[in-house]
Amino acid sequence: MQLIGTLTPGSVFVVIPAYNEGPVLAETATELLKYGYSVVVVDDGSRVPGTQYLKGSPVYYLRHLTNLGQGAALQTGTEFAVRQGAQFIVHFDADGQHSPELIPSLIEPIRTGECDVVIGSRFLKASDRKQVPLEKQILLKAGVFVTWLFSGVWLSDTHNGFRAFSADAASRIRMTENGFAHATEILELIKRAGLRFKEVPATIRYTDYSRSKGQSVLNSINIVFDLVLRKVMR
Amino acid sequence: MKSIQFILILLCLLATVAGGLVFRFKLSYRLLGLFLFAAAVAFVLFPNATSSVANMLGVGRGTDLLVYLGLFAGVYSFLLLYSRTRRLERSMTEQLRAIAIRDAIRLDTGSAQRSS
Repeated sequence: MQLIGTLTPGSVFVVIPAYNEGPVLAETATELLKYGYSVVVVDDGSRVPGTQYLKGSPVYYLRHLTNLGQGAALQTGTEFAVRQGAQFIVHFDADGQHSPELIPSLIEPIRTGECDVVIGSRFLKASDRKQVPLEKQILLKAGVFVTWLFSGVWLSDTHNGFRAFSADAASRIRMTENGFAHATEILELIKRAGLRFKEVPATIRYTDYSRSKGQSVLNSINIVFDLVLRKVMR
Repeated sequence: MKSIQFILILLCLLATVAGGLVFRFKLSYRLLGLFLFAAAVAFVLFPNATSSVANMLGVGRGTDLLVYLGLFAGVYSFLLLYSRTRRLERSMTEQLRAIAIRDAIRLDTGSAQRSS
């Protein structure tokens, strides 16, 4: 995919939430910087500050004084990016499972005015789907159902952290779920704000590292619990 | 008076005093505490009274009624505490977010980011 014609890569702000990530954080950031994107690292209260690995690299660095959760970190980074005058905001995992070369195809539908929010999916292309371990597929499909139950949005993939927003869309969404339930909350907010969204194929690079950081079944139950309580009480 | 009654009344008194101290600025809570104390003492002194109240409500035994009420109170206080925790978490998030955005830096130049 070629870089989009009139687009300035610097106006694309890539928000990376990081909590106790190792040197992989620097690798991810360096790869993104090669494309000229603006990189915003939100250190979510890591024990060892992320500056350790990012020394001297041209990224924006924000730090939560204590660990709040991935949802909170994404919201912080997104808000910062909007204030910095970002045109597009991309959510990106720190662990290297997302591919920077897919960012243009993620942004394209927003740039052409087709929609306001784009979400990556591991289930739109057979080749991407094969990458996903079977037990993970089952878990994710259950997630699709739960997400539909709570947000009324049916997607092919859930809890895919690879998303893009127009600046306007990003400023109209405000996540309050600090934990992983934010992935469902975001859809609910998109729907309520009347934003147009679509899914695009996204290949996930499963490495041993990203696997170790992924969601467990137990954690998924936690997410459902958060979602239920969210509905019961505001 | 049986010794268990004495102990129970003493415990109720302690709970009421503790509650009164915690909710020092909430008159309604303190009054509710006094009312609960009075009710508890009455039921401790006249154990059979719980059964007649229970029968009136269609519950078999007085002890069952107390278990139901206790369960209800427990769930209610859990939800109350949970919603308070969420509120606290939300306001803490707002504050930490404001600090994070205020203190954002560019790591290559070390310059602070003035957000517009």
